[in-house]
Amino acid sequence: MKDLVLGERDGYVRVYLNTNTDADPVFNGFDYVQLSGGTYDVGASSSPYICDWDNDGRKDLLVGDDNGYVYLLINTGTNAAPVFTSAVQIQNGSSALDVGTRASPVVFDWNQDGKKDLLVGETYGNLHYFENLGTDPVPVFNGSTTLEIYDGTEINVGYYPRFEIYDWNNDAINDIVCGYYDTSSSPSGGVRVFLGGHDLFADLAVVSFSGPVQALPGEEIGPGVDLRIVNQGNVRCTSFEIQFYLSDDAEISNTDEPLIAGNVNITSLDAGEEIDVVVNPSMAIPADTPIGTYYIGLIVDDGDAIPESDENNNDSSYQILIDAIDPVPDIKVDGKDGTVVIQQTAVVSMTVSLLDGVMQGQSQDWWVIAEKGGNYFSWVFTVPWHWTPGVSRTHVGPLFDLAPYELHNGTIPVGTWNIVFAVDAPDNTYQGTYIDKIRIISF
Amino acid sequence: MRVSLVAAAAALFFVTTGVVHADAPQLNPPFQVYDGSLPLEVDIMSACTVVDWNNDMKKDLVVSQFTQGKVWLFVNQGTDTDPVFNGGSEIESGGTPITTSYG
Repeated sequence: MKDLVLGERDGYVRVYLNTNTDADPVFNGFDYVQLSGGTYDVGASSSPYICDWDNDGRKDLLVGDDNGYVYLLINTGTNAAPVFTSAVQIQNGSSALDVGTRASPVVFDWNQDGKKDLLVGETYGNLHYFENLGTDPVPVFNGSTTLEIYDGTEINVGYYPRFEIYDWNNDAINDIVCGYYDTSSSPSGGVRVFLGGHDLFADLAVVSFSGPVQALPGEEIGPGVDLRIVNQGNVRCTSFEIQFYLSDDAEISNTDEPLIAGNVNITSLDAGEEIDVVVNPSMAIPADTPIGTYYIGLIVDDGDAIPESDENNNDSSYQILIDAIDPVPDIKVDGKDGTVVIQQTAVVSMTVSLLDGVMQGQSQDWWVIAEKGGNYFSWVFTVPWHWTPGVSRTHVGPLFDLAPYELHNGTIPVGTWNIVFAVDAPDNTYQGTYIDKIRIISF
Repeated sequence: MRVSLVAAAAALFFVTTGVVHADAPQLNPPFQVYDGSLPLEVDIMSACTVVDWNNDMKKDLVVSQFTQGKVWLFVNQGTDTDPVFNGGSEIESGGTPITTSYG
């Protein structure tokens, strides 16, 4: 039958024996726990805990005291009639186990290694865990840690935790049921339950994701991207990466093309927390992206640094059209654009250059044509390169990025010359689709 | 003075019933145990223990009281998995409530 054991402020330990039934306990007075024939007195604030410490099949008694110590009273009698002849301080390393004040011990195999451990509450609200480094019948302790909840926050219930370890919600996982005194809460005293759980996982997910639906190769799209994510799990997570990708399809994987500067680190996200992600403004489409329809996608926790309850909701994507960049021909005289005035005796340098844009590799007509007074001259790519009267294409062939190339270095005959550098469709018909012009006035 | 309580047989009860222990528990932030619609409160610095006091296969709660040294029994009106408490009663000895020195 169940009995009742009470600690006292005065340091004694009361035992109320049940005189009725296990289902309906009745008490008629109490006895104090005796030690070697006298009333056992731990001094003050006795906090008893009963367990079979030495595995001999008989209940023993642990008693915490007001000075932070824990005493072991080994039962040399029977279970029905315990006898205690000694009270020995529990040791921690080479000295007495000491949690400061008002020690409140609980014996439990906390790390489930088959050996009893010791957990001790103290005045200032912490629960100290002393791992048993010895054996189950002969525990040895050397150091302690304070219990924490899953995110590393130290358990603290204010003052005077008196607790029990019990499976409160019958999920086969042990919980802590704790009386407390917390001046920061209302009511300041009561009972709190810290549920244990092995299903503590973050679950990162995308709440919303949008951005520019059209861009140029190389264009920075970071400022236009809106991303909101959530941790819909039940545990805080720390430090994970978000990587943005360019993909041919809506399914995003880390084998897709990463966007330039498309990586964001999130330092932490609490359970239930939702945040707007600040994307790098320099995040850009790779410059060599051919025109076409793509998907901008992302993977939250790219690299799986965070264990999650659901790993299949970490990506999202939207469609984007990558536009063409027109070819950019450029012609200069002595490094200048526009109208250049020179003396007929001056030696000038004329250069052309080309950015091929997304027409890279496409076969086009190349044109360099000079006009003066209605007369045309063409620079033709026939060795040796030369000017020839009339309109003739310079070359037909794939476009490529042409670094400044000097096609003339010398004087310019007197007159006003309009000179163009252009590329267009490969039909040998000058259309000047992509064109740059310069005017030279030679006198 | 303070009252510290442990139900002796209750402690043995925990051992003998063989509660299934898995790995070392991770712990969640705490929730408050309620008594009816209000947080359960008998006093500051309460000590508590969990036990099936009346052998109805549902866990009950025994909570001690600081200032008068009384011990309260809260019988579970809900289920063993989802305990519900609606009022407590003072545990008696010899027909009168148990009291100890405060603290």
